[in-house]
Amino acid sequence: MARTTTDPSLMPGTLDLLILKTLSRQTLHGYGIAQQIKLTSNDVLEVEEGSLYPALQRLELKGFVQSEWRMTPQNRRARFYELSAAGRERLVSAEADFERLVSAVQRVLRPA
Amino acid sequence: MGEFWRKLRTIGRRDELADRLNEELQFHIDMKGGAVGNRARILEQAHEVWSFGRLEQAILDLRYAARALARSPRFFALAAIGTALGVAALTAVVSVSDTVLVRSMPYRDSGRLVVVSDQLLKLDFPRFPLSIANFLDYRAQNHVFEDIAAFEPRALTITGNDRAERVAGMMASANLLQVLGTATALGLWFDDAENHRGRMDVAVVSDAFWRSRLGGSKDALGRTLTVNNQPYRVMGVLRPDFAFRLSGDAPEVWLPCGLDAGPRDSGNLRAIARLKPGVDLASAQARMHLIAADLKQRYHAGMGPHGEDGGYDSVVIPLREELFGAVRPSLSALAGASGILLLLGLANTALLWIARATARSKEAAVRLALGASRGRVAQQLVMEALLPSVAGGLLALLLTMVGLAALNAAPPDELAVVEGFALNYRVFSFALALSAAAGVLFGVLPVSSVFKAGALTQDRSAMPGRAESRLRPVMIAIQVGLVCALVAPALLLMRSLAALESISPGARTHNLITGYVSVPPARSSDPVSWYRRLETTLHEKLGGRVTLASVLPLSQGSGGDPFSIEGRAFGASGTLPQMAHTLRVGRGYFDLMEVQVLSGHGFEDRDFAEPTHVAIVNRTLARAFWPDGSPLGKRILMGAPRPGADWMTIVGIAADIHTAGLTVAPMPQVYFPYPQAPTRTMAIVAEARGTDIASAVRAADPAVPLFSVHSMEERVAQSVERPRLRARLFFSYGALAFALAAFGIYSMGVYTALRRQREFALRAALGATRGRLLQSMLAGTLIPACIGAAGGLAGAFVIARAIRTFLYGAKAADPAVYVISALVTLGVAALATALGGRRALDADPAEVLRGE
Repeated sequence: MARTTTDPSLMPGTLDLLILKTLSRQTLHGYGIAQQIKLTSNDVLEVEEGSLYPALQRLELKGFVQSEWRMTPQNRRARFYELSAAGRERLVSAEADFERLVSAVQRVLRPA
Repeated sequence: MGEFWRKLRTIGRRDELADRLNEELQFHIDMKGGAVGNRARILEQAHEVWSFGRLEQAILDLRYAARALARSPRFFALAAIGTALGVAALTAVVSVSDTVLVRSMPYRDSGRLVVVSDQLLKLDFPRFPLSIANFLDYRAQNHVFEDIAAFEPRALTITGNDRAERVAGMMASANLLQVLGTATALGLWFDDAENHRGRMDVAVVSDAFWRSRLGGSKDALGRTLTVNNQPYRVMGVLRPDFAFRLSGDAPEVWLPCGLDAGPRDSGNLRAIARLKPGVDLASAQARMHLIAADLKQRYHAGMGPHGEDGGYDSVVIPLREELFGAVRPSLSALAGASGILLLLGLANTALLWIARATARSKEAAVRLALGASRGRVAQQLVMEALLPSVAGGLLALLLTMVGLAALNAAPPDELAVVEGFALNYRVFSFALALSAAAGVLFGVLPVSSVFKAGALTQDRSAMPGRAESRLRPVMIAIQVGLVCALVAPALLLMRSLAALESISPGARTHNLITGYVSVPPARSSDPVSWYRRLETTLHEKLGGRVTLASVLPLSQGSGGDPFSIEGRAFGASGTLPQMAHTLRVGRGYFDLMEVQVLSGHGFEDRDFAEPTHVAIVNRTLARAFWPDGSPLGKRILMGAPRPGADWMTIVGIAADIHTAGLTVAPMPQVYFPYPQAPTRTMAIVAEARGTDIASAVRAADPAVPLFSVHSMEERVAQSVERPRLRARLFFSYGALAFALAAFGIYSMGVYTALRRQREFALRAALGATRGRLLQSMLAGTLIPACIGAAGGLAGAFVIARAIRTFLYGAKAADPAVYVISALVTLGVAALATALGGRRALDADPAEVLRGE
């Protein structure tokens, strides 16, 4: 599978879903989120900063994530994002939506 | 806390948020060990996330537009004021006429109400009051009215608390309120007349009277009012919005009128009726013609006041027409003038925008080149174009409100309406929308070429040139035309007013004070001795010269009383209808009023001591009825010849005075000493400075009210008040139009000159003189201006024809007025262009050529 960079317009909501899922496992800063997605997708998904940071701003305005400035283990100031209760709910419904979409696409690709 | 509030909280913290995002990105770069994408773009996207999208962009654009306009405050003020004046003028005039013509008849279905009168056209009485007998026949036979009610205005004297007061009164039939479709606020209106035949001693009062004289409490019902020395019981109070304006002053006290048929040749009734559903005015009028013709045939040859056939007929007029027929032409003319002012404001704004097109095009092109989207640039241009219109609209709203409030505080008599003038928001919105649309059209159109591909590759200074050179002459022509269309009628009205004011009423006007008294009912058996005592007391108290007169200059309508000439058939025997104004006068009248006795002699003392049956006629009467001889020694009689009548011998001929309006040719007039045939009401004329005639009258008889006290000068001024108001309004419209157009053309001149500075500099360098350059600029203005002026004068002529009824001593087609209007307007246009151009020419050509 070729490497792909995320284009939010390709599949709407996918980037948000990836961010929320990643944050559901641990609290991370922006760079960490990008790294984590790259890692868990076996280098297939590379999140562009140009998409990631506006998306984080959007999610925070919507109240799905909260942020906090903390020190990293390397003793640097960084902004850490954490999933909120609303974000957790959102993740559940977004996952369900995504799965429905994927199975629909699969049915189209390989009709029974 | 919702997303909306979080977004709202970002406002004002966005720089801080951006700083943080920057730090975050820096962290990201450091961790990644390489550059992130376009950092500025990320920040911009974040801004979009924080912002409210289009709305917030619109606000930003508005701020940008406001800043752009703040850089040229003169432009902004001119555009806003131009819009405001037109919108305010149109809104105010339409609001007033709407209030007057539509909402001042608070009656049910007022469009079906009609006024029924008789008319005696041969005797010049287009509205002759009805006799009771005629009214009863009309009521019984009409078949076209749901019902018809009668009323009769009568001045009443109310006494009580040691003072006497004169109020406007009205006698009315019991069905009047039902015909009008209204009711009392308190108590009852009269039952039908039969019920009151036994007890006519009841009164209904107006809301104003109830509040001011009866304390405004419910206890007022049942109280006794002394009216003309008789007790009346107050049985009802009318509603505050009840308006009855068919008889001059609003009536304050209403009394029932008995309807017992009497003689057909006398009566003072007026009638108002409601058309049956499905009956139109024409069929009602046709039916009334038939009844009138039948009555005329059945009772006598004629139905004139003395049995003569004065061209008797019955006439049905819509109530609206009767009430406002006279003011409607004025209001229409003003509405037209306001419309012109509005258009002028629009043309002015257009001209101002066109003048700025060059500068704005460059700016827009630069923004486009820097990457702003077309939508953003277009939106910002629209905002900028809208701002002056909106500001002008707000200013107009303010102006209109202030104007209407001022009108409500002191309403002009003939426009007095019950509820006050209300702003017509529909017209306001229409005018404002029109202004805004024009603003956007002319604000965006001349710069629209910027959006064409490759705009920047063109010669920048020439970009908006085509739109500008196409629109500029058109707008100049329109402006000059509109100004001419307003200025010429204004000049005509001013001329007409000057002509009016130069007419002498024929009698002395300076330093005279006048006021009316009525013989108290208790003294009505011997009015002559009451008047004599009054004269004596006035002489004692006032010192100066005093006299009495039953008719003052400029106080009468154009009707008159019929008179007879001994030895001639009763009726028209001269070159005028045989009607005269009757002036009963006191001793010294001709001296005090400075009315010259041209031949014969004036009245003598013995004429006032006892009836000597003498008369003085005016020159108009003498010429009309004795064209070849002298009336001196001939005998006349007021009214029809009758046995035992005292014929009056003409002893003198007096100069004419204007008893009707200044513009009405002097009527035939007959003077005689008041003791010969005294009347109930006379005017006191006193020569005095600061004289208190009120206290002198009180000293003579405390029970008699003095009313309508005015100096003679005031009476003359009142008589030309309406033409003066009209001339003033048109003059101010003309002046405003002038100012607007002058500033517009001046601005245009400045900007055109600036734009052509390079060309001028080049031509100057090649040897063209300053005068030559100015000449070419003037040609650019004056050619379209002349075309506009020609069109404007044609429009002015149409307006002048529409207002020709207001013109006195000035013809609608007066060539001098049109030539002057055109010359003055063109002169101002030329001056504005030259002044504007000079500013640009003052620049040093070398500087200009090096610059750019």
